[in-house]
Amino acid sequence: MNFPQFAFHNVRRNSRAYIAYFLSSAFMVMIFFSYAVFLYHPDVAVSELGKMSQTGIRIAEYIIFVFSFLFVLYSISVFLKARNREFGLLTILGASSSQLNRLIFLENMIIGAASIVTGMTAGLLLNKLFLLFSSRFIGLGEMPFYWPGQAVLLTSGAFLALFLFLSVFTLLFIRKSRVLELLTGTSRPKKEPRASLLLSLLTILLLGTALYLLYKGGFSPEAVLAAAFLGITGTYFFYTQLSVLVFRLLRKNRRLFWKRTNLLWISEFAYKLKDNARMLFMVTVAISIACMSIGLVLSTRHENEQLYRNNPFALTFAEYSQTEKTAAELEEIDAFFAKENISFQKATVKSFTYQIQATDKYRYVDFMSRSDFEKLYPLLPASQTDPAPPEPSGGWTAEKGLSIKGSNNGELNTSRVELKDLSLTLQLEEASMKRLGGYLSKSNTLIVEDSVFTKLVNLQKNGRLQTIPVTKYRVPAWDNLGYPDGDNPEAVFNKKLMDHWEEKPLNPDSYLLMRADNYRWVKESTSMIGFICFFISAIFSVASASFLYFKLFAELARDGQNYRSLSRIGLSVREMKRSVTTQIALLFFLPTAISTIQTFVVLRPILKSINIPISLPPVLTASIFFAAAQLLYFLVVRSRYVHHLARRMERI
Amino acid sequence: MEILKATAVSKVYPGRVATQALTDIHLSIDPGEFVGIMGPSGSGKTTLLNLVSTIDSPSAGEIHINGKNPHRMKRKDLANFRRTELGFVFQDFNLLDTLTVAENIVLPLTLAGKKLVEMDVRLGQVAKRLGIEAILNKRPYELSGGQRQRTAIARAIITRPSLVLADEPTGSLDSNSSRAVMETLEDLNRTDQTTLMLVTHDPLAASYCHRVVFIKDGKLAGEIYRGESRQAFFQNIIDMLSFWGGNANELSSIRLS
Repeated sequence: MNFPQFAFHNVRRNSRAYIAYFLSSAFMVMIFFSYAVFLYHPDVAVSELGKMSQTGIRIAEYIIFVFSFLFVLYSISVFLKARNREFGLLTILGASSSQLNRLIFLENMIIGAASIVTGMTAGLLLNKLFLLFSSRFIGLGEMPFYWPGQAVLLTSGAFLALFLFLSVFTLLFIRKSRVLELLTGTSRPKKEPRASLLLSLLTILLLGTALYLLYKGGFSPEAVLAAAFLGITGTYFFYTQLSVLVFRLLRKNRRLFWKRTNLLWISEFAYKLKDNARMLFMVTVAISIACMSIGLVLSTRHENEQLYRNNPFALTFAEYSQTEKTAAELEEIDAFFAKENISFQKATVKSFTYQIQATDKYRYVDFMSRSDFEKLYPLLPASQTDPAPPEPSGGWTAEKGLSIKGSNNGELNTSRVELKDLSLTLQLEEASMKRLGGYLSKSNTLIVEDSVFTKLVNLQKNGRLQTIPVTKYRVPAWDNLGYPDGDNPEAVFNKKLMDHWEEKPLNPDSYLLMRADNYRWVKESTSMIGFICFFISAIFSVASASFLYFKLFAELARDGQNYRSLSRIGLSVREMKRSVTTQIALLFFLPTAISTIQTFVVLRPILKSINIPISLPPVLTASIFFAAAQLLYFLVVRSRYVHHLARRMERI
Repeated sequence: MEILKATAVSKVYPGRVATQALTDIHLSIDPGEFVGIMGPSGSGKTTLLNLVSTIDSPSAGEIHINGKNPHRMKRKDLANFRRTELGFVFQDFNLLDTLTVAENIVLPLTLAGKKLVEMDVRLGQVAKRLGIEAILNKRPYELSGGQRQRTAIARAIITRPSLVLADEPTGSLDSNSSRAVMETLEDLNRTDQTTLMLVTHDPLAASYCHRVVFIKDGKLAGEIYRGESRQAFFQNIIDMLSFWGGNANELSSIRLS
């Protein structure tokens, strides 16, 4: 057996310890490689969206690389520490320190090379699937498979350099301690985890201040940044101090602590918590950031879909000043519809924006005359079931009107509005969005009797605000077709119309709003972020599982011995399982649980500030995904761990 | 009735080369007896101990502890049986570093789901009995070997087991601690009528027993009873060892004090 063979056998026979590290490294290589395949895809650079995605992916590549660096660095140093005994033994047998170094270097390179090859092979096999998924997710056209030569070079080059550097670098870590120390290394008793009361109180203070900043203080970018900083620091101390303190206090409560297996798992878990505090902290922050970004993205998309669904008008054409040119453009739009053989309904209404005092706030709202509203009403979905437009109870008078909520400021109470300029107080009844089947505009719209409207307009004649004629189009054929993605007829039409105006720009007095285009724009810009976040967070989640796996199995020998002697004094396998399962479950699910709480607490005010109503499904989707992934790792790790312990307990 | 009754017990470890570890062992221990098992390495002492401690089962023959045959029990009941009927003292103490001395001692009671008050009372009793009240809140790694072994003894007797099994309890201790631990065991046996079975290499430790059973090559090789003087008994044991063992290397572990 020569030296490289010895190193190879070492790795092969220690596969139980190395497997998680190897698989996570391979996973990182795979994701890095898949992103690279996307980055260098010939179709990507062609489109505008593709260029934007390239920048995003490039950033993601950097993040993955830096994270892989830290992961490998940390893993190797933990492995080396766990193998002190073995190195001590080799030293006794006469291995020189340069031989030990060579052994460690060779072993690391074997694992590194194997994970590069495995990662890239898996990446190549999944190449087509990944391209399909990413192009779907981002909204690019279908991307054909290609031979990713550049991606192979980039990935293998980058990771080979990474493993090479770290294999040499970590050699500096092995203190050439006395052989005895190496031999007894890990079996020395560990100090009881201690926490400072002061720092624990500081934790509560930090997290409390972060909450206060988010909920009470005016919502400014500075406040959010400060809250993020305080929150992250607080999370760190939560794991290193507060949680340790909580477990110390739990031990004080003997009624709880001296009960069945509680005595075992609470005392053991305090150590595991302290040992893994930093890692748990990192994972929590990573998962939180991922959950928040994904939550934000999904909430925005959700809101975007709502907006699309609640906008009954496919096109809205506003004329800031009516000229022949704008009239011609209107005709052009009609002609375009005719050319595409699409029937439509349209109505031109006038509205203007005016500041009112409604109950307690001053707000800008849109005013519209009753006759315009009745002209517009047949375009609204509600007209199909109820052809008569809604009116205030008791019929129209100058003092009465309707108020229709806008998509943006829902919470404004407009039941009683005072128009000081006209010395008139309006009683408004709400004609809800549900009743009408859609929003009329972003701001609240107040419908008043024509005479009142004219008076208001006349008041403004010399003033700043003016009425703007807005032409709204409705295409009945596009109702109930779902969202304008892919080859949805509305999306197709929208694209053609866009191309048309691209060649011949609209004149500056007119403004054309296409709901499908709005929808597409928001969707594309958010999906990129979601796409990148998804994979980066997947890496974090896999890496954290790998760390935990290794930490647990590094202590398996000691735990096994403990449980073996416990088994003699009457611990049943079932009790062992209960104790072990509780601990492993806490290690695996604590970060996810805390991230979920953090995500929820942080997203609420943020979403509120950008006028997106909070809804649980999009906010929790990412957390559920992580919890599911963690559940999978948990089940695997638990069953393996319990299996090994049970074997040790029953072995004579 | 005997606390332990082993009848015609044999143990064969199957494998490519089957090993006959024990052959036709008959052994009984009466309540309140303090019995030592001695024999050279590989003689089958540990196998016998494993059979008695129910973590291994005999290939032939029967073992009854306090009238019950644990090898016919279900695995779940077996853990409970060990918890209530047997107490263990190990060579390497097997205390949990994550627990304090007090917590280590009450561990079998908490696993059995005993009430807190009862645990406190019993803890107080055994701690006083073994003189370890002062160290109850310390951690095992802060203690001397002798203190650790006394903690382990406290853990073994807190459940008031029918039989306490001690596996080389002095094996990791210096001579002073060894003496203290053996005197503790002797005292437990004399005052509380605790039944003890001691497996050891150490003739000095064995000299505290009422009776020493010798095993060689998996068979019972002899048995001697203690008379009035421990010193004479010690000499008898050494004579017996050199007679049965026959090899000088068996005497290497003898410490004369």
